[in-house]
Amino acid sequence: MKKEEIKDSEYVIEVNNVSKKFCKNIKRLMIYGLVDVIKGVLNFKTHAEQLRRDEFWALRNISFNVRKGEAVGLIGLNGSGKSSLLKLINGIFLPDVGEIIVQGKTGALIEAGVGFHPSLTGRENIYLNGTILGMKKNEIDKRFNDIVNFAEIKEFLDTPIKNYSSGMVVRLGFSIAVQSAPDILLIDEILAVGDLAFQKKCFEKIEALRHDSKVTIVFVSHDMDNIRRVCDRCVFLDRGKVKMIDETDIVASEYFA
Amino acid sequence: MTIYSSESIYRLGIKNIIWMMFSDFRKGKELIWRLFLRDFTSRHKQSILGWLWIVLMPLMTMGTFLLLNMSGIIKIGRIDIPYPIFGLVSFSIWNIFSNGLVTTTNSVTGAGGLVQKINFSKDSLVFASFGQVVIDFLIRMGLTVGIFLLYGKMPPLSFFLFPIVLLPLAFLTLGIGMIASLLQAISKDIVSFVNLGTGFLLLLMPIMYSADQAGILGKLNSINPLYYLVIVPRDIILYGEVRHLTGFILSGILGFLVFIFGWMFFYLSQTKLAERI
Repeated sequence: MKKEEIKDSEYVIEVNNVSKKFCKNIKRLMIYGLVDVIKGVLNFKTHAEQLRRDEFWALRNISFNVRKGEAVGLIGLNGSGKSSLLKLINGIFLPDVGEIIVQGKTGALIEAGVGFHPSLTGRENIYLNGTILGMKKNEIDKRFNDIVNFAEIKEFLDTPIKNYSSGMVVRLGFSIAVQSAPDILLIDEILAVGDLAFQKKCFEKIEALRHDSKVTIVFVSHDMDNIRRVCDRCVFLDRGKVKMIDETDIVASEYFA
Repeated sequence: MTIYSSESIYRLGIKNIIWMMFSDFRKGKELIWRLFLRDFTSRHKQSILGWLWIVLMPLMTMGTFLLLNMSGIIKIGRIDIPYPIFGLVSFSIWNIFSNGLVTTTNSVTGAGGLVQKINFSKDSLVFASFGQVVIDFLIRMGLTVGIFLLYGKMPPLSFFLFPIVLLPLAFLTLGIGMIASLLQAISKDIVSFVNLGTGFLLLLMPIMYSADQAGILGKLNSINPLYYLVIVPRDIILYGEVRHLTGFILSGILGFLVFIFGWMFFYLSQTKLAERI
C-alpha cells in the first residue's frame, strides 16, 4: 500500500472475518503447529476452516473496524476471547481464518512486568523493555527522564526490579509503553494493579494520548466504570463471537442485562 | 501497514522469506544486543563461583581425561603440545557446539511470558543466547594464550584465525539450535536428549584425545560432519596444519544450509510458538 493511501485510510485496525482455534491437548497442539508450518511452506492447503481432534474455536467470525484516535473496549465474561483478540491485533497470534490489517506502530500492555528481568535494575530494565517494544537507544535516552518521572521510581532506579512492589512494576511498564510513542495502544486489564492515584494518572495520560497525539486505544477490562471512562465504543464478546458492537453505554446496558 | 493472516507470509515464496529474515535480523540487532546484555549481566548474579565456572568446566573435563588415560581406559595418544593447551582449545571448540546447543534449545521456553505477551522477533532470543557461548569461548581463548606464555611458547599465527575457521561450526549449532528450541516447546525432553547426545559424542570423537581411531568408530567419524567442523579448526588453531580440507569444506556448506533451513523453519513457526508455550 502506498503512503498516501495509509494517510487517507479511514481505519487503523480492520478485523475481517477472523477466526482463531486452539487445541486442548498440548502434544497434539504442537504437532498441528508443525504440520501447518510444513504445509504452508510447501504451499499445501491447510484446511484452516475445519477443526481437528481436540481443537475448538476461541474466536469465530469476528469483524469490526477502529478509526484513528478512537478508543474501543473489548468486554465479555472470562473465556469470551478478549485477550486472544488483543493478541491477534498485536500480531502475537495469527488468525486461522480471515485477516487483521493494522496501520501504525502498536504498543501493548498485556501483563505487568513482562519483558522485565527481576535481577536487573530499573535503569537496565528501561533500556531492555524499551528495546523490546521497538525503541532505539537514542529514543530511550531522550525519553528516559519522562519514563522515570511518570513511573515515580527515581530513587529506586538502581534497585533490582525484584525488590519493586507490583504497583511500581506496573507504573514502570505503563510508563515505558506510553513513551514508546505508539499509534495504537493495546491495554489488557493491567491498570487494576496500581493504586487509585496512579490509575487516575494513567487514565489522564490515555486521554492526553488520544486527544493530543490521536493515539488509538483498544482496552480490555471487566471494570465497566473504567471502560466508560476510556471508550467510545465497545465490542461485546460472548463465547468467542461478537454479541454486540455499539456505543459504550448501550453495550454496557446489554452486558449488565 | 501490517497484515496478519495465516497464509500471508507463505505467499511470499522462499526467496522473499529468506530476504525478510535477514532484513528483520538487521533491524533487530539492537534487540539482540540488549537481550545479550540482559543474559550477560544477570548470568552469574546468584552464583558463588560466578565466572570461575568458565575455567572450572574445561579443567574438570581435562582432569577426567587425564585420569582415564593414566588408568589405561582411554589413550590420549601422541600430542605435540602440552596437554593443558590441547585440552583447553579442544574443550572450548566442542563447547561452542555442546553448550551452544543447550543454551539455544532453552532460549525460547526460558523466555516464557515474553514470547506469549509481546510481539517481537523471537529468533533474537536464540541469537542472543548464543552470544553467551561466544563470550565463554573468547575468555577461554584468552586463557589459552596465557597458558602458551606460561610454557614459554607463542601461539602460532594461525591461532588467530579462530573467528573464521569456527564460523561453520557456529552456523551448524545455530541451525540445529533453532529447530531444537521449537521442539523444546513441544517436549521438555529435548534438552535432555541434547545433553545426552553431546556427552556421548565427546567420548566417541577424538576431541579430548588425539589417538587415531580404527574400526567402526573411525568409519563413523569419517562420515560425521561435526568431526570435520571440530577437528579441522582445532588443528589449524593449534598447529597451523590443515587435514581433511574437503571434508571441512563440505561440512561447512552443510552447516550453513542447516543454519538457513533451521532459521527459516523457526521464523515461520514463531507465532505458533507463542500459542504453545
